[in-house]
Amino acid sequence: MRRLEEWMFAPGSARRLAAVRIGLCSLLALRLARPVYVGLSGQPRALFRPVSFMHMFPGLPSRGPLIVLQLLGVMAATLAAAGLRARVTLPVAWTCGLLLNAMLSSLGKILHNDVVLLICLVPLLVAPVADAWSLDAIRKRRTRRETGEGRDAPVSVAYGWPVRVAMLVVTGAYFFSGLGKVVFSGPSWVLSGNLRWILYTASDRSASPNVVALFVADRAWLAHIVAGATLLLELTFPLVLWRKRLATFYVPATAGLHAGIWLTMNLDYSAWALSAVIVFVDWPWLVEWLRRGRLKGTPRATTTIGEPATLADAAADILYA
Amino acid sequence: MDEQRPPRWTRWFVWTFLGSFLVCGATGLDTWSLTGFRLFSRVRVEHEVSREIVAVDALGREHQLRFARLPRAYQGSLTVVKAFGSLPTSGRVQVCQAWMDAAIRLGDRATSLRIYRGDRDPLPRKGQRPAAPVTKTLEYSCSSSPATERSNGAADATP
Repeated sequence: MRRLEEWMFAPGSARRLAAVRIGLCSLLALRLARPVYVGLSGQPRALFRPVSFMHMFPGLPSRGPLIVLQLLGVMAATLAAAGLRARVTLPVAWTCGLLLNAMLSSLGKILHNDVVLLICLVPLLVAPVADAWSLDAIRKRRTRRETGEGRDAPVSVAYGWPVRVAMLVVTGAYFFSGLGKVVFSGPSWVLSGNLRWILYTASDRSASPNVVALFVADRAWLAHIVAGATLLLELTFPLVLWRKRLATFYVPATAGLHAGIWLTMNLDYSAWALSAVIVFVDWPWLVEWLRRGRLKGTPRATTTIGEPATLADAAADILYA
Repeated sequence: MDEQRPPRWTRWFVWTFLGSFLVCGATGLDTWSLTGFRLFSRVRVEHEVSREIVAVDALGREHQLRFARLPRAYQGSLTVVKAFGSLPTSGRVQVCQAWMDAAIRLGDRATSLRIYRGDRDPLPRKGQRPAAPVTKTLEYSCSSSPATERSNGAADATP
């Protein structure tokens, strides 16, 4: 527990936290800009199936409040990404996202598509997310220049834990997805024809057959391999917290998993995959690397890890500081 | 480094949040937006069960209700229909009325609705589709009035 606490509350970079803010808030703005939310208006009360806090509401709102909520959410998320009054705009954007997605989940089925994004944003709600790469920081710097004060330290305990909590959320989401399969289905999730039937059903219920789904489903051995690989990937994802090099495999592999789900079942988990990339990539390092245009001699301003010796080391450093 | 230890409230916030996340994930508890992450966690069997809602006009002709053509607000209906049999009578009438209104919105002159259960095995296959057709069984027939509601094999309504 002490080691976990030491890891959790180790100092972090203001820029790394800012990059996570920019990434997650931009993603939230894009997700909230989708037209699906306006389509929620006019739902008959009889079809309302509330989840969680949605029980407090008698039904889904009409078109007007939905549009206001959506516009407010997109604007606030965009401002939070730019780092303008992030202490206010980020919580406003998150609340709009929470409400709108809770409404989507109140149609009869809990949707997980945006859940990881929303949960990853929770630690950022109370963190100093706009101390770097933000309009707030530029404004503060101008004030300091005028008053003659020094610059902020780029590394602090306050900047480290929000990113690590977000990492734990992504890790936990994959692990618990795998755990659920083991608890509710056991080995038969892999060893039975489970994945074949999932893919056949997905294809048979769509207007035109899905050739990718059928390619896997028609080959029992391939379906077993894909099911086994999926379960293994989900259950072992937490290893990225133990060995940072493993992130170079796990993050692209999970992006591939989500791409496969989209290709075979037409289910969009892009927000989940992008949240993982945003949280695990060391963006300040990547920016610095791109700026210099070479690997050797690149200083690491954000971590205590040394210079990358090889391309593999560089990739490992980009993913997960 | 300007600080060595986080404030007490930060530690409290982090461990409470992560504790809640852990409890929901480990127990499968859905307290949205913290969820149990039960994604395709139940094993599927070879037998496919589906539901179909059709509107019946005054001449007795059936028109399939295509929810994909309706706004998002109606697109959870195929999940709602699975639990239709477990609803109280008043709830069934209200849901039925909502779907009849949807049918009218789509241009069908519905006087009643029928809910069919479809059964099919994905194997063997004929080309890219199952060789066997869907076996349809009428589960419910309803209109906006409770007096006209009929059920057939209500026990099958919540598979």
